[in-house]
Formats: sequence, C-alpha cells, structure tokens
Amino acid sequence: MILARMIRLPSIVACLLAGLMLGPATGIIENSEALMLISEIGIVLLLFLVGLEVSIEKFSDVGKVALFAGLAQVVATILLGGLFAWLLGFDVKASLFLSLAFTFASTVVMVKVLTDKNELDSVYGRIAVGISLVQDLVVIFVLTILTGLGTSGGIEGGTVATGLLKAFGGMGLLLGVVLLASKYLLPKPFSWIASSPSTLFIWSLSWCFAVVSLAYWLNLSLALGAFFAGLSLAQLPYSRDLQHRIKPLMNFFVAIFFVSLGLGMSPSDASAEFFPILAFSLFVIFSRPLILLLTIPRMNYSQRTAFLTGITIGQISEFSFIFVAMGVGAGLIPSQIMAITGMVGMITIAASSYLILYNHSLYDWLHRLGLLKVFYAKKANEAEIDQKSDLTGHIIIVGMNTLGRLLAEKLHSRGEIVIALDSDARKLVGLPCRTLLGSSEYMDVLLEAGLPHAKLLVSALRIEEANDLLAFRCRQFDVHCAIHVVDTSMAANLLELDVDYLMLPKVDGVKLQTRYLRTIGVLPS
Amino acid sequence: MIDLALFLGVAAIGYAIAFRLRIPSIPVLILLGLALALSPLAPGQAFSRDILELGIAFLVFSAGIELAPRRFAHQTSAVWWVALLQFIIMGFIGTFCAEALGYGKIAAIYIGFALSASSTIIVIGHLRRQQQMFQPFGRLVTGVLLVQDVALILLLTLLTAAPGGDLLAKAQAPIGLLALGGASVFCHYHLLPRLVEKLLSDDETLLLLGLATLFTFLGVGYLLGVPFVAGAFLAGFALSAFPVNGLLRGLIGSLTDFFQALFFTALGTLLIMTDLTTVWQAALLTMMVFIVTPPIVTAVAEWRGQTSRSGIESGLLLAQTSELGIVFALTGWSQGHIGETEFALIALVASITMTLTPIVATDAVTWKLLHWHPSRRRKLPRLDLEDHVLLLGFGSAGMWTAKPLMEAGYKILVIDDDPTVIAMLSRTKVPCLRGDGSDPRVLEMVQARKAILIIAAIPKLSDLLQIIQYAQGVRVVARVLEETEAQVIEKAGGIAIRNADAAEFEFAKWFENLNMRT
Repeated sequence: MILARMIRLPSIVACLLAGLMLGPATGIIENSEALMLISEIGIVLLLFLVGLEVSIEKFSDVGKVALFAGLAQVVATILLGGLFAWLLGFDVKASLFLSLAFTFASTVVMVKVLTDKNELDSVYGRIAVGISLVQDLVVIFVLTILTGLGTSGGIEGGTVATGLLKAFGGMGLLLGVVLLASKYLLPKPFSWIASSPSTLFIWSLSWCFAVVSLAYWLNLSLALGAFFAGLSLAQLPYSRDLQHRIKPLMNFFVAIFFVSLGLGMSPSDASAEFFPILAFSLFVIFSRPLILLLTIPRMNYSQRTAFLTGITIGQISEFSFIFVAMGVGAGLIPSQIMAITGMVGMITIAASSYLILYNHSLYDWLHRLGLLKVFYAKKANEAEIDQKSDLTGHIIIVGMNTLGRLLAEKLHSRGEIVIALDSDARKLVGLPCRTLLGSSEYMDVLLEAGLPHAKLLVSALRIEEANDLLAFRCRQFDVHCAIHVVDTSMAANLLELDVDYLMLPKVDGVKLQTRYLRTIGVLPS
Repeated sequence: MIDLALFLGVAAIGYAIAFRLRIPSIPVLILLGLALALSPLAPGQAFSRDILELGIAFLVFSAGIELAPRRFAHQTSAVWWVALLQFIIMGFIGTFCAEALGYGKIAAIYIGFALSASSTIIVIGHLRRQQQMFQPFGRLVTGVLLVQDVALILLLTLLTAAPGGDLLAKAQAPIGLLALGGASVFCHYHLLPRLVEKLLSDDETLLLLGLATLFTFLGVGYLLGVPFVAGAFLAGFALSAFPVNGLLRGLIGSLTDFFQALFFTALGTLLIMTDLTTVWQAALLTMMVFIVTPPIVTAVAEWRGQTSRSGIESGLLLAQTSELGIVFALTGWSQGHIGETEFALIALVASITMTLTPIVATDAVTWKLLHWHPSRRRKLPRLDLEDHVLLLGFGSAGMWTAKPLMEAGYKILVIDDDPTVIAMLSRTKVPCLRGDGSDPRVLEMVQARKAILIIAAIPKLSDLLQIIQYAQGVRVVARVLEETEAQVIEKAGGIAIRNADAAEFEFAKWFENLNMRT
C-alpha cells in the first residue's frame, strides 16, 4: 500500500488491490469472522465521522447550489444509470442497484485529494463537499429503505410496506432520541470532561457504539446508527477535535474493510463483465461533469466551477459497496453485481484522483478546444477561482497557558490575525482572537489553522516533543516560528530545526527581576 | 458489536470515575472489567482474548515508539545503574517472596520480575501533570522506565525460548531477537527517517507506514520464533527516532487510547477466578513493592549523584507495577508457564500499586521519608552568614542574577541540587552549596532568616510557598510563568516576577524586527 501511495494512488484503491492480491490472486488470506467484525467497526467509524462533519455552517454559503445540483445529479444518475444498465442487459432490480451504486461520490476520496491540493476551501471544493453532504442524506434514506427490504425478506407485497414502515419508524425514533440527547443529555457531561482528551475520545466512541447498539436493536443498519451518533455530537464545540482524533482510528479499520472487500472480489466474475465495467466506469466519470455543467451555471456560477465540481465528484463512493453488499446479502441481486461495482469503484476512484490533480489543466485544454461551448454557460470567473480561505499571513499561537494567552492578546491588539490553538476548550474561553480547538500533533489541525499560509507560528507549550514537532512542521512549510524553551537542554534540538526565535521566559524573567531589584534599590540604577 | 459497545460503555464509566477521583484510569478499568465479568452481561472470554491480543500489540508498540535514547543522553550512567539494579534486586526479592508464598520456580520468576518494572503510562502522566519532566529526577525516571521495558522484553524472550529440545531450538528465539533487534536499529537510524521524509504528504500514509512496520515486525518475529510482544516493541523502537515518532505519536495515540481502554477492561473480565488467598497475597506483594523499591532507587540514585530528595521522589514514583508487567504475565499464561492464579495475582498487584501512585508520590510523603533518611540525623552546622543574598536554585539564567549582585558588593550564596551546576560555580568562584533550597534544614543552615533577600528559581509552587513561610519577613523574590502561581505567591507575601510578561516583551521586540524584514 505504501508503494501504491508513492505513485499517488488513493488509499481505497490500494486497499482493494492489496485485498485482491492477498485473497483471490494468492489465497494467503480468506475473509473470516474477525475480519468481518473489524470491517463493520470500520463502517461504523466512517459513518460516525461523516455524521460529525455535518454542519449547518458548511452549507450556508454554497448550500443552495449544493442542494440543487446534488439532488439533480442524484435523480439524473438514477434515471440515466438505470436506463443504461437495463440497455446493457441487466434486469430491473440489478439496474436499480447499479444506478444507486453509481449515484454517490466518495466524500473520503474528494476531501483527501482536495486537501492534498490545498483546494478544499475553493468554491468548487466547497460545492463538491456540499453535494456529498446532500448525497449523505440521500444515502441514509436509501439505507433505511434497504434495511426495510432486507428485513421484509423480499421485494413484494405488504411485507415490504411493513418493512419500510418499521425502518422509517425506527429511524424516526432513533433520530428523535439522538436529537433530544444532543440538546439535553450530552452537552453538560461532555463539557465536564472536555479538559481530558482521552476521556472525551472514549466517551464519544462509547456514545457511538451505544447508538449503534440501539439501531441494531431497532433492526436498523449499524451505519445509520453511527451516522446519527455522529450527528448528535456534531453540534458540540469539541466535534472538530473529535474528528481529528477519530480519523486515524477510522483509517485503520476502514483500510481493513476495503482490504476485505478486495478479498471478497471475484476477478473471474469481473473479467467476464469487462465491457459493462468499462462502460459503467466511463458513465460515472463523464456523466457527473455533464450533469453539473447543465445545472450549476444556471445558478450564477461559472462553467469552470461546474466542470471542476463535476470532476471532483467523478467516482463512486464506499457506500456503493455497502449498498451492493446489502443487496447481495438480502438475496436481491447476484454476487456478480458486487464484482462489477468493485471494479468500477477501483477504476473511477483511481481515475478521478488523477483527474482532480490535473483538473485546471484539463479544463483549460477542453476550453481551448471549444468543447464546452455547447453548454452555453457563464465563462470562468477568476474571483471564484481565487476565492480561498482568508487565512493568509496570520499568526498561529499554540498552547493557551499564561504566555500563550498574553501573546495572543497582544498580537491581536496590534491588528494581527491570530489563531489561538489549544486542546482544552476552557483555555480558549474569553480570547479576543479566533480560536481553534485541537491538538497540534495532528497535521489536519495545523492545516485547518492554515499553517502553510501563516506568517508565523508561536508555541507556548511546555512539552518538548510537541515543540520539536511544531518546529519540524514549520520548517517543512517554510513558516517562521518562535518556540518556548522550557529547559536549555531543549535549545540544541530546536536550533537544529532552524527555529527563528527561542522564547526563554526563565532568562527574560531575570531581566525583569533586575529591573525590580533596581526599583527597590538593591541594585544601583 | 454489542460486546464491543458493552466494553466501551464500561470503559467510559471507568474514565469518568478516574477523572472525578483524579486517579489513573488503568486500575479503575480493570476493576470495572472484573465487575462486568461478575454481572449477567458478561461477554464471552473468546472476545476478551481477541481484544487482549490486539491491545497488547498496540500498548507495547506505543511504548517502543517512546523509546528515544536521546531523552536521557545526559544521565546515561545514572539511568542504567538505577534501572538495572532496581530491576534485578526487586526481581530477585519478588521471586524469593513468591517462592515463599508457595509458587513454583518458573511462576515465582514471572511474579518477581513482572512486579519489578514500573509503569510508563502512570509515571509519564504524573510527571507531565506535575510539570516535572525537565527536573533531573524526571529525566532519570523517564530513562529508567525505558531501560526496564527493554530488560523485561529480553527476559520474556529468554523465558519463552523453547524449554525442551536441542540447543539450536533453544537458541532460535534469542538469535531471532538479535536479528530483529538489528533490523529495528537499522530502521530507526537509517531507513524510516528517510522514508518518512519522502512520505510527508499526509497523515494517512504515515499511519499506514507505522502500521506496516508493526505488522511486518510481528510477522517476521513470528517466523523467527520471537515472542509477539518483542516484535511489537522492536517495531515501536524502529519508529522512535525524531521526527518519525513525533509525526506518528498523535496518529497512533488514538489507536492506543482505544485499545488501551478495551485492553484493561477485557483484562478485568479475566480476573474472575480471584479468590481470597490471591487477594491477601496481592496485598503482601504490594507492600513489598512499596517497601523495597524506594530505598533501592534512593540509594542507587544518591550514589550516582542525585540528592536525597530526588532519589526519594524517583523511588516513590517508580513504586508500582507496569502495564508491561501485565503483558509479561499474560504471555507467560498463554505459554502455559503460569496459571490463572499467578496472572490474577500480578494483575491485582498492578491495579493496586497503580491506584496508590498518586497518593504515595506526593510532597508530603517525600518530606516524611526525608526525615527518616540517615543524612537527616546529622545536625547541619549553621553557617556564619548575615545580610547576605540567597539564590535558591541557579537554573539556566542564574549567572545573570548572581553577577550584578556580586558586582554591587553583596555576599551571595547559591544553593542548588544539581552537582554539575555546583561544580561549575565552584570553578568560577561563586559561593555555593549543594542541597535542596526549599528544605527548612538547609534554610536554617544558611541563615535564611538573616538574609536581606532571597531569590528563588525553583519550579515547584509548593516549594516556593515553603520558602516564603520559612523566611518570615525576609523579602522572597520568585520567578514564575503562570499568572495563577504569581497570585498565590503574592498572597503568601512573596514577590512574583512574571516570566510570561518578560518573555512577551522580548518577543515583541523580535517580532517588530521580523515585520520590518518581511
């Protein structure tokens, strides 16, 4: 997998390939009960994380276009995809499942590649994430229906209606419970333990698996329970910090989930379906930009933005595998559909990762060729392209002890844009500048604080390892840094890391002390 | 999935109790696991054992990542002496006690040596909370923990080497360990730092690299006949060089927190067999840990240049059983070397000693033990001093305090517990004395109440308050970083110099220059 990452292959594809190599190709590993449990935990954590990410703020600026384009894309893909699959010779049920599987884009893939490109905050990046959130809601709706179908044991008659009723009833009950808990039950205890990151982390996981157990008891999918659990914690002020802490855990379990998907694939089945796989892959990659080029420019956004958004969502999601696996598990579709979806997933995820990397050049090339003229859309608006985070030339201050707070207040009063960062929410209270809750150990936190565009990072922390790491990160991004030296034994390492300024409060305090001794006449003035 | 939810729920309660009572979470988790096993909700033992295996891998792996030799580079000699002597003496005494309690030879060795290593998680957490990582005894203790972990891993490899068979079979595990150790050292210094430089792009790749290293070492270790635990530990060591360890710490931290919570809860569920005999034996062995460890560590630490107080503080802090000791016992249990009873005994002693650490490793206990120290029986002579200036603690900026005072014609006396500082001062003809500047006996000896000024550069607030209380009207100037500390000192009658204000002032000057340059 590490080799795959070196050639910039997304982790999901690398995991699927690893699974293929370990399973069907060599037979070293077989899917086991333990692997299935780990895979389930991976799905739960992934959905929990998606729930945690749902925020009304994210929708506010691009909400309208994301909602419109998202729904249009879902409806159009289901209709066109279903028709396409039926024309390729699949029956109605299989066509429906395939079209559903090809509807949703992978939030994980797009966020990952956009973060690597540092374009997550661009207009098209925000619209793409907005669309993926709209899709997440549709995913929940479809998952509920599928669970209803699964429990009804068939797709006909009144039992389906009962199943759907049970699923929607259970969903309503679960949603009600978590929303009430989110408002009345969770805030106080979570605020009480907020100063202990480990406790906060274990509590959130415990809450997640408690809600998942409730969903299981209500015959709902575990993924749905996890999503609702995340949703209930998303409104807490610690949700961003929790996301950063849960992500590595999720990555570990989800990697195993995708490897196990690879293990379960049947390349022989897939090779027999070479033509449909190729056709569906091209459909997924090309239909998204086409649909969005027809919708997004109608809402006063440029053609470039529509195209880039379409390219960004040009892959199928991890949910697609879940849908199809559920359909196969419920006996609604043959296992061959799983092999097709898996291969289409691998192809589209790999292709879109590369397309996103070179999206601007691709647009310019197509634009020069005049191929986009047929859409009669608005021309590129440079203001839209350049609209990125306002975090540039700012100062990040890590560690809100007395020194950190003092520096934050003074620099803020000088008119600097200051971001105060600490992992304890209570230490951020009352600061006049912008604040960010999180641990500086996580790269994601530093990226959220805008480290690559900062003019200075100041660490007031008294933890040697954390300060060394911050100095290292600053050198990596060529950002000036000033680091608190608690003990002179730390200085050598920091100087090796090219720290610009060593803050030595113990030494500086002597100067203040000397002034005081002069004031009281102990030393001559 | 329901079992997992149950374990996590119990762990969440355990963390809340530990947070409320300000005690370590590990013993609470073990005891709650025990309660869970006794309840009708008890999950199956197979699930607990699966969790234990993954938990062990991550616990030991993360302990290995913390094994950065540069951390105790300046105290290497003291660290090795204290760690090995304490480990060996305590191990033999523990083995002897276990044999006296009726256990067989191999079981007694497991019990004795499992109890002789101290807990990295508990001690590091305590040092961080007390801001004592950079004090001489903090560095000593950190180094001792790391050496003890290595010693325990080596012993485990020797014990788990094939008991029967020919010499070649017996030598397989130690030779395998040497080979794997060599690979780990190579990865630590050469391979992984370079690989990480190339893979710096994102956290996920780094996490994958860390996990790939762990599972590669586990796999190769398995093929070479090396214990699972040793493989995990050596994988951790391979990743423990800066910046690899720094970049991975946060990522692995989440996994470690998750598996640690599950591991200790699951461990508790396996202790169900504990009977009353095991409980009183555990009480006896706990007493042994508290009676034997502090004197050994104090004696060796003093012999290697630490003060009596530092030695006692180190001894008290190291007087508990390690989580690695539990892993050691668990491995012995899975190998059939010890039974459930021995395992339960070790886990119980670990739980009790870990719980007691925050109660025992306090200033109050340290001072009480100091009164019993042989050196305290000697009456210190009062020095002929009057109208002098006392500098308690020299610190990194002591010379800038001492020099102007000497130039202004004051009689000064520096008191510091660091032998290297005293040696340097003696060379530069600055009047000095080695000792603990907050100790009332020392303050009496140096006639603190007759001084015209006391300047304290001592990090501990309680020590500063003790000095102010003793000085009775003599002006005491103390430099502190936190505003809350400054307020406490002023309330007690001292004069607080706010280091943060001074640092901000100097920073502002540098920042002005930076702005002009850019």
